[in-house]
Amino acid sequence: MPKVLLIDDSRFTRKNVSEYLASKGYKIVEAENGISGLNVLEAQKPDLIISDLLMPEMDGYIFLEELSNRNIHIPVIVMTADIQETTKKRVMDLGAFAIINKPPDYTQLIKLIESLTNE
Amino acid sequence: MQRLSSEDLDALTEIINIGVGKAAGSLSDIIGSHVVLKVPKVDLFPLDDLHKIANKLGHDRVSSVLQFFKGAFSGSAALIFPPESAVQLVSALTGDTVTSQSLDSVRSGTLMEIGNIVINGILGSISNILKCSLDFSLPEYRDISTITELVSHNILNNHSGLIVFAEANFFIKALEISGFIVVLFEIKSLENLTSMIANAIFARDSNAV
Repeated sequence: MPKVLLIDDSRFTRKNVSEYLASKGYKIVEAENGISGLNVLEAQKPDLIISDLLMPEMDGYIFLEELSNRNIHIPVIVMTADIQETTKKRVMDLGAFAIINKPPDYTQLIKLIESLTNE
Repeated sequence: MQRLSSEDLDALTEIINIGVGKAAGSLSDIIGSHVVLKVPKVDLFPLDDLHKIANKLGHDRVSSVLQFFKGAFSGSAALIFPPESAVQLVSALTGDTVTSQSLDSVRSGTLMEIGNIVINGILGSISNILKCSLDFSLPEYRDISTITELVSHNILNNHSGLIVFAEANFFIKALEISGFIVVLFEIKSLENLTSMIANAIFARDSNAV
């Protein structure tokens, strides 16, 4: 099964989402902000990334920029409480493959993961 | 003093963050501009310490739209703007040039409508995630000078003497409008709150939140 890197500063969200994805058989690795996300990414080589936007130290926008700067092409799903269309456009312009709102619709999330990992 | 564990405080902050995100989305739709959000600050303290947040507004007087709520927890929520931002927002929405002197007649109606949408967005989201029901009062417009005025006519039941205080700042760059959202509620007991948080997993079979 694909390995998913979940980046979110909220332990509550990490726990909820990783428990659900693990129950579906996915391997989950976690990080609490963009900086630790980049470190985990290098060590764990995930197939897909799910990232929050508002985080301390390195937010999701800068994280997406860093992926682009480093020529890393792992698909990113942004998962955020910010439901604004302007936010959606900004993250898509930065290279995200999709944006979903918190709390996530798990049916939508699984479909996205399956489509991005060719399952 | 009773305290929330860091895990429960993290969960409560995220639940309120989701509510604020939905509220900001509604505000952005109304004004047609992007709203820059900050992660809410959430704190729990005894009711007796309410005076310590009295001067958090940073202005002599601010414009606020306030709604009370009661149910699983009781309190108030407010959308707050410094005077110049309230003028700017009403001008942007009505298309009229509004001065601070002429604002009063149009300000309250316009801001109350916005406040009602934003506050219901936050509290509706929070109550859905915490799986509880809240009854809302009609929105009220008030010029206030301290946070404590938001609870002066409150419906606190003094169950536990514990208050949850959350504030989230936002900024609308295109219109140079700043403001913040305050949610302040009394909990029946710490155990009651931790129990609600423990049950607050994201819905897995529907997207009803």
